[in-house]
Amino acid sequence: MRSFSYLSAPDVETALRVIADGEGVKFLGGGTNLVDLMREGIERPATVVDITRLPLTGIEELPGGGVRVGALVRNSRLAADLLIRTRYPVLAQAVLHGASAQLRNMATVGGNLLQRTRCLYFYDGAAACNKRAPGSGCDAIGGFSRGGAILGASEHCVAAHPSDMAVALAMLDAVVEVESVRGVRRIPIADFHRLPGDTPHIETALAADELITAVELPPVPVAANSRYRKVRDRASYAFALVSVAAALNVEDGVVTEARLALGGVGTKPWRATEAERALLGAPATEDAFRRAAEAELAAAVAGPQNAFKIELARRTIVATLRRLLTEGSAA
Amino acid sequence: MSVVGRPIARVEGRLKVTGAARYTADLPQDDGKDLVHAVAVCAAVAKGRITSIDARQARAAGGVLELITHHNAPRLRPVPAQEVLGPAHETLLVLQDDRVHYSGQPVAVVVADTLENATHAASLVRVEYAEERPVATLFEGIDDAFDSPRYAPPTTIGDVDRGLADAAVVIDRTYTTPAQHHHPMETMATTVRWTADEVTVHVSTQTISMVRDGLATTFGLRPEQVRVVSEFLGGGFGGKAAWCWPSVVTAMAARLTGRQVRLVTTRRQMFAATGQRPHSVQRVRLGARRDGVLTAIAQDCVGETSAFYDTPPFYIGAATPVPYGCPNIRTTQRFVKVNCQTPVPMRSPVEGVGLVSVESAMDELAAELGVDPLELRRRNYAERDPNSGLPWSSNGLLECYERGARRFGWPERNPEPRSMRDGRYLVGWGMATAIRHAGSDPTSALVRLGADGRAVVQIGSQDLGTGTFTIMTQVAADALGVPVEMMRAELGDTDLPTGGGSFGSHTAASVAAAARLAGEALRAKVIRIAVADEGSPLSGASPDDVLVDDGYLFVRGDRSRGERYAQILRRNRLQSATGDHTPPPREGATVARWAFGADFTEVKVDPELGTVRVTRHVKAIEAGRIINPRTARSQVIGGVVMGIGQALTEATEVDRRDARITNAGFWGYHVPVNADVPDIEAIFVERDDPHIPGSVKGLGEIATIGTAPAILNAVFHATGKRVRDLPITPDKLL
Ligand SMILES: Cc1cc2nc3c(=O)[nH]c(=O)nc-3n(C[C@H](O)[C@H](O)[C@H](O)COP(=O)(O)OP(=O)(O)OC[C@H]3O[C@@H](n4cnc5c(N)ncnc54)[C@H](O)[C@@H]3O)c2cc1C
Ligand code: SF4
Repeated sequence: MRSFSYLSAPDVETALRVIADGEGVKFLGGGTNLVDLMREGIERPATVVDITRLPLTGIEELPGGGVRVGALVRNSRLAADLLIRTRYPVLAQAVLHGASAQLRNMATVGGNLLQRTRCLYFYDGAAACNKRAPGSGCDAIGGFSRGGAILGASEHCVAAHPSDMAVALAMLDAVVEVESVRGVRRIPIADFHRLPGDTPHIETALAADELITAVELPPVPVAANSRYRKVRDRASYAFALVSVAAALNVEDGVVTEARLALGGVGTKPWRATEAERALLGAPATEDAFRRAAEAELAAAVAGPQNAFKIELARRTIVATLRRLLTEGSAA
Repeated sequence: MSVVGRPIARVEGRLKVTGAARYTADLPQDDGKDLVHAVAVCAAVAKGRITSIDARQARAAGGVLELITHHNAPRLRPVPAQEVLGPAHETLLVLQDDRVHYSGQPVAVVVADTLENATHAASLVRVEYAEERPVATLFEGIDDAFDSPRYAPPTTIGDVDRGLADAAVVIDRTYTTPAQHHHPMETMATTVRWTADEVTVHVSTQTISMVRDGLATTFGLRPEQVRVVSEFLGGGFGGKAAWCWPSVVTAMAARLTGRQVRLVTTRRQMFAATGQRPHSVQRVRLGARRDGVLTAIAQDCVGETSAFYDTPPFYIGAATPVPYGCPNIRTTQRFVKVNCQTPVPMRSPVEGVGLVSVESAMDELAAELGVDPLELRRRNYAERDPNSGLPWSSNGLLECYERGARRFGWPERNPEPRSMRDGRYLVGWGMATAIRHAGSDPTSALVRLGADGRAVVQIGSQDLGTGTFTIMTQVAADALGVPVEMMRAELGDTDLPTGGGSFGSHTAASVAAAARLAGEALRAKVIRIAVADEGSPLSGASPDDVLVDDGYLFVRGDRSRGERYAQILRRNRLQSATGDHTPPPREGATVARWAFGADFTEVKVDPELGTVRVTRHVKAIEAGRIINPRTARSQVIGGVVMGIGQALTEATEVDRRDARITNAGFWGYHVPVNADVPDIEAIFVERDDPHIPGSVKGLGEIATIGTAPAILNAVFHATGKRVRDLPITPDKLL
């Protein structure tokens, strides 16, 4: 058996010390992604440090109206939290659209942010994959690539980012708080996930020795009127073909504030800034929504199998904004 | 009181919900405590030769006992599919040479003391290949498609060309159905102990006798030297009905190591372990008069088969001539050799695939003619089986149409596509006809009665999870005349009287017939003993005058003159009797035996985003007499769920460059989840059938046939868009 050592960290200091000193150390959150990847031989840590005992499980209101979510808050608890549901309904909905109840009971906020792609070739040890084996090539390009990204891809990797939660966090301008023996850093979510470029194996701005300790949600008043829409191949328990997180403020028929992020289509959780720009000041009409979607998707690149995602993304953006207008954030 | 026909709970239900039922992979090891684990290394290319296998690292890894490759594997003898196993099995002899025919074919097997050690060592085996260009799908090989006059001879009734020429309307459409995998919850598991005297095999199989005969043949043993046991199964859907490599390589490992060896395939390996439903292209032409009466049905199918083509392939159009009375029918099929596993049955290999196109085309015809789809089918009701020309043994199809339609509310359907709405959703109603040949297999049963009045019924059949234990118990209890609590069922062991396979919708009919014969024989035997027994109140009575009720035997007209089975047996020791069911011969048949059904379904489609949800499904089935409405209903629910998967979510996706399956896992291969499954209603139209023992026609396949095309038709009704390429994922409706 490929053996590894296991350690349950009693406190943050120990966890940070072990990862700073060791080779091939991995933190274990809910384990719903890491353990699968270990089984497939994709992740091969020498040491697994269980961090679920760390006191990073709070959801606290911050002065000024923001909320701080501990990195070890389970996905189910996050989605059920009253503060989250009222101030950031989009986040609660996004989390509930991910995985299954059992998985959400285990999955943590930190682990969810770091979950790896569901590109089918990434999981197939016999396939070429730059993300899994840097420099080996990319079998997804030209292969069965229905799930591939249409935004942010490179010639080295076209894998879509799988997280639902992270799409909502992108929309909310969340800040990821990380800590190492060197100190604490705060990374804006927009900078947290990286585009693949020619280093698709480097997925985030997190350094090898850093622990995610919390995610801070800034006050986003418009988020009180926000929702998440996910289109997938079956009714539940499937990754997004396309998903949309949106928040909208409309006064006298004119959009005064808009936030939009996309899932399933980007190589990272995709903040749709072009669309937001197009929406701002525009009439809250179907036409304007469509133009905004098109502004964002102008940069989309697709192969024959995932070309539908461009049209589907356009429609999902319009449908989500329309519903936000008519029904608000009611799930 | 009779227990046949009553919805009693599964007799093994408690064992299952408490976890006490031991499935093959959970069986405790034999007393010797020497159970070891085997893990297969599977080919990473779909076609080529193995040029080297570097196993040094693997052999050196902890706990490794044996490493089997084509260099050191026991030599196997060929297993003729048709002769030994029956049709449709993969008989490729694995680990015998350096050739690779499909991705996922086993190329090495590692045996180690623990599953973890074996898994790790397997990951260390380095195999090099001289890769050749594979045929990835039937589209790549379609130019080389060939006929199989022996196994898929064209069916010709009347003159189809005339029928098409005479038609007022002709529908000519082509449909494609994808390769699919069975994916029972329980993956394929085998445990083998090989001693000088006996090879004992615990295996998740739908046919213990087939595994026994196959292993005996391939390893050069006598069938009596092989004992095969399969007590509890976590589904199979046809995959476990087929001869497949996991059992063979486990037996090899047991023979080489002298240990008890277990091999459980992983979910990923299940995409190349037990075969698949073949990818197909089906062209259908229907000719009809203005009033909808069919003048011609022509179906031309192309289906995939394996590159080594070692088994009679499926003739998916074989049942196409049956559902509708039409004077001119022609079906043909060609095959394409593809670098995939050999296609095997999957919950209705013929009707469940080949009628998808026919039932969709009927819907297209109805739309074209402006005739209600149900009415169109009624107008084409076949008074006798068009294929054989024989009268039906019984046929409740019209009643299925009527009761299903009434229950569903079909008359309220607005025929116009896109005319029905529920808020932002388009609502569609669709229906389809289902038919399935009703047959049975030779089956023997033994019923034994003890001095405590308790009885046991034994048949070497298997319970897929469908309820075989339960119906055996019910039928045998009634036949013997004891309360159902006093009867216990045993199955799944080749040491028991020989049963058939649990496939082809044959199990209930076969098992019930044999159990009834054995129960009745034992009842007659004990009555004879009692009337000859001076110590019995029945002494001297005529055997014909002895009745049995609830385990109590008495003389007709005088209930006080009698005694219980237990009392008779106490004086006369244990008694048993056997019953042998022989199915009516197919040749020289005077009637056509079929089960019938009608599916009615409602879908809601988001027209903007292309998502389809089935929101209601009513299935009316005539399968003769229902032994247990509860297990029967559960069969129908499972069948409809599979139909939903077939219509909307399931497809095995192959990379067309290298013939490797890309979505080999449950988050890539989408089976329906609870949220995809609506309220499903089963209606049983019961019929007595004098030509079928017990009037049992079988439900396993009719439960799913018809569901997928009904959904396809409902999606058309909802959207006005006809999707002819399954499954209907959202992208196809944008
Ligand atoms: C069948 C299935 C379906 C799924 N469907 C969806 C879906 O539809 N949508 C969706 O969004 N997700 C889905 N998921 C993914 C699921 O959301 C993730 O697996 C989960 O969020 C990961 O959280 P975890 O705590 O279990 O992470 P782990 O598996 O414990 O860890 C994941 C990674 O993060 C690292 N890590 C964890 N915590 C920290 C920390 N605090 N600091 C630094 N590193 C850390 C680990 O070392 C590891 O590399 C699915 C998963 C499965 C198995
Ligand atoms: S798309 Fe990315 S993850 Fe997928 S095979 Fe290519 S490099 Fe690997």
